[in-house]
Amino acid sequence: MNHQSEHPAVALCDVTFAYQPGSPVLEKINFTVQRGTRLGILGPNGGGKSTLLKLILGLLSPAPGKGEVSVLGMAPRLATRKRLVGYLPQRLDVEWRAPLSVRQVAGMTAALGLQPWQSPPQVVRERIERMIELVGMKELADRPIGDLSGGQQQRVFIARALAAAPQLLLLDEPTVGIDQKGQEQFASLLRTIHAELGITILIVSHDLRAIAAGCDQIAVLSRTLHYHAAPEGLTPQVLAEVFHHDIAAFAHAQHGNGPHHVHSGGCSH
Amino acid sequence: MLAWQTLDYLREFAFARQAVMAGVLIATASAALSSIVVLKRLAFVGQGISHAAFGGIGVVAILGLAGFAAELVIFAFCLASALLIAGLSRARTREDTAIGIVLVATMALGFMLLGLRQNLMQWDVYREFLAGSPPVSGWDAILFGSIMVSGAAGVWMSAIVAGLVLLGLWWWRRPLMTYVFDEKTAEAAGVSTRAMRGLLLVLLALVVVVGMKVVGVVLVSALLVLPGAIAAQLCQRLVPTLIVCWVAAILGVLGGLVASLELSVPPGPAIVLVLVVEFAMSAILRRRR
Repeated sequence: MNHQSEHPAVALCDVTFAYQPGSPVLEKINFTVQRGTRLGILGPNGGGKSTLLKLILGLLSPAPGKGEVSVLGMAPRLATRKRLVGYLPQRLDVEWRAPLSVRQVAGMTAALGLQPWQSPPQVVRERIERMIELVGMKELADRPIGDLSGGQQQRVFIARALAAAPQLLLLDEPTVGIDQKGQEQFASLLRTIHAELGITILIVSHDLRAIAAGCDQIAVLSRTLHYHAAPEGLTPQVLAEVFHHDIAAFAHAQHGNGPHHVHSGGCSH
Repeated sequence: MLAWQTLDYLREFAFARQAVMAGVLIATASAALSSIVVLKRLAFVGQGISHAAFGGIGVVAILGLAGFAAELVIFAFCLASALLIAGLSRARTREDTAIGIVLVATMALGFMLLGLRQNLMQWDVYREFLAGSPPVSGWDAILFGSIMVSGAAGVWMSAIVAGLVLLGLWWWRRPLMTYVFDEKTAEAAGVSTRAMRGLLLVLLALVVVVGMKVVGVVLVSALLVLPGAIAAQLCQRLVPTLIVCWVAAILGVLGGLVASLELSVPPGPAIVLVLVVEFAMSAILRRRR
């Protein structure tokens, strides 16, 4: 184990973020994701999910004095540059008409750190193949990405994210455009990945099904972080109330339920 | 007899050989970019950039510039308009609106400066100022190309641009491929999407500056769009796509040049029409499958 492993995978300390002064999208967010956790962050549209993702990826930063974000014990931008964070885009954000094979897509980010004149070393090529196999796409590795179904494409994107050997995997609305069967397979794939690689997985979605199947911890985000516990504690009332932006009182009553890997107030200084 | 005349021309006249060489080089450069133009929906941006060349031509004409300085001014105009389009689209204007505005602004400026040059000619001071500078090519040459007069300099220019475009695409192939495929993952992997878009705009501007000599300001975006569109009909893999783009562009340029020499029609529109026929054929072929 390297010395970095003592740092949590993600830590947000008192983070407030506003695109326009006076109307924060995220307010006083405190949470820590320990390594190896599978955390689902559920929230309504406009609840600040994509802003949270951008903060973790280092594409946005909190204004001075508005809290701190750290990923694997370093600045998010640095973790991103070192490709320690694997990202799974929404399927609809991808140009699937591109004339690329499954293998070319899967190997895309793993080779980004190389100089133009270098070709990918054996280790990297083997890892790409291993990940294609892990997500069950070995038979389709030479097929054009546009020929695949939504669920299959998503598996390829997982392989691509994993091929760069990340320690944290971020999934952005993974169920959008995927049918029921594809979703079930996807959830079992996430369990396999977690068991085999032991990496931290963070899923952000507005769809409970995306999260319930593959996560051992759940948080609910709607401007503030309302709830976090094991999935069993998430009752229909909680969800109904969150999606009406009226959960605060209920959520506080639920704090401290059971053993959490997700801790509120995770500031480490 | 068709094609015989073309061979005679090629044997006898350097200008015909130079036209073929410049045409092949420019076709290579634009074909290399074409797939990305189609995938990233840059067709209309290309249109905006190429019309901006007209503003550059106006400045070149009124200052009596020639040679490399002239090319540089036109390139600067294309690049500046590309950046202006990008800058405007980031603010409150939509990209198609931004292109619409920049396109007409630079074209109007070009026309106005060319007209002004005409008027200034009645002053001796201005005529002395222009002394030794080359005459301005006619409207039709600017609008629809004049590859037959590209000369040795045109061949060199095309070679340099083709080299730069191919080198740029190869050098940045990995971040560029990620950026073209999905911007969000590129960003999340530390690729600067602004830098990638900037790179594409610079390469587009380079191709436009030399491409407008072949097919003219109005039609240069045909070279950027049609090869990629044809390949998209026929291929789903990277290497075949690049090959089809290249072959389609070369066939278009050579076919157009032959038609131009045989039938004594202007080469620019002939090249574009050959490319359009190729596209129609590729669409029919795809339907048949």
